Amino acid sequence: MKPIQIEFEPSRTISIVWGCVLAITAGAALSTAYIVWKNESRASALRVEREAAERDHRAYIATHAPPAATKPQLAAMRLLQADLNRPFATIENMDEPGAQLVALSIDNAAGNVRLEYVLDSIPRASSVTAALNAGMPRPAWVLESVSGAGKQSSGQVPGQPSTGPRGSWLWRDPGG
Amino acid sequence: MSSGWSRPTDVYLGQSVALAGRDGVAAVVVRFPPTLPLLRALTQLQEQASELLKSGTRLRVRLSPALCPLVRFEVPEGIRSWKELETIASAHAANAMDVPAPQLVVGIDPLQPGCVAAMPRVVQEVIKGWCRQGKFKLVSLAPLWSEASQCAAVRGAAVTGFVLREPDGTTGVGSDSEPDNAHAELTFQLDAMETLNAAAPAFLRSHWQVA
Repeated sequence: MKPIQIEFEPSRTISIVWGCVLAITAGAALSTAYIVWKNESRASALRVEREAAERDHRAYIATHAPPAATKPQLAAMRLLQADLNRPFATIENMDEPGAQLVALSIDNAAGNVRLEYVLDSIPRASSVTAALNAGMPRPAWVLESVSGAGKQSSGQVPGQPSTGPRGSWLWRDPGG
Repeated sequence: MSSGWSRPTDVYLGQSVALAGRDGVAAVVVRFPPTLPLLRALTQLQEQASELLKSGTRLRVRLSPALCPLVRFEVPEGIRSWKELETIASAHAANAMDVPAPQLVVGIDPLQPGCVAAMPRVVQEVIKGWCRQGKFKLVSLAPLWSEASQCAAVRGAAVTGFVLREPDGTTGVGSDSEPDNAHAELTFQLDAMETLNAAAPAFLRSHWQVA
């Protein structure tokens, strides 16, 4: 037959084990609550600090903010940020006979670079375009216009701009 | 420190007799009139078994059926809580012992809730008070028939019940409808046996007769 287990005096071992389990559970709950509370306090302190910093920043800006930039200033800033090395490098390296650079203009507002060559003949314009775009994966120089077609005079003074046709090229950066 | 302090002292308590022993052997038997208050009876036992009942001694106390009888009842279906079961068991015990339910303490085996041990609350309080007074550590308090149900003599598959005879009462545990040969007979007697029966309960083994 099955034994009948009756005990009026609860075992202290079981009580101790239960006590330990309860103590560990309570300890874990308390530590979790403490960690949550600590994180909340830290987050709250950070939030207050950030709000104070933002408030101070706004106040500082309100009192120390520089005046709004003018149009020329904005253009100068844009120019400063523009990368002119590449168009200048192509100009320096361009070695095309029959083409003489006579003008270089930089349009700050539009961010364009424009070249003007005096050519010995109109067909020279296409070879200058090819020479300017040599080595580039995508052509950056675009022939804008060719004008003033005419023969070079024989009595031209060296060093003076030629009087032949003039071609104008515009730099359009393919990368940007 | 004596090695006896680490081993518990076994105390059997009946209506007119008390035994104290250790390691399965009773060393002291005290008889007293049934009308003697329990606390005075325990004090007498403590005086006569002072070697076994020193301060700090761990005590296992077993009670006779006169102090803690077995009460059997049909557990009604639909009981949902332990508290409810205890209340019903208390009511049955109060009816069987003719004692108001609040004055009883019941012990229930969760695996066999139809067999409960009932004890007057005052008996438990007196025993605990005596232990506090003598600075004993009460490690176990149970009826002797519960102890007997755990011994080898009644735990065989062929045994369906047992009858336990004690100086102040007899307890039948198990099915009543089974034939006699399926029941074991145990007798707890006050005189020590010459030979110890291995199938008898370990609690004061020297006083058990097993058939």
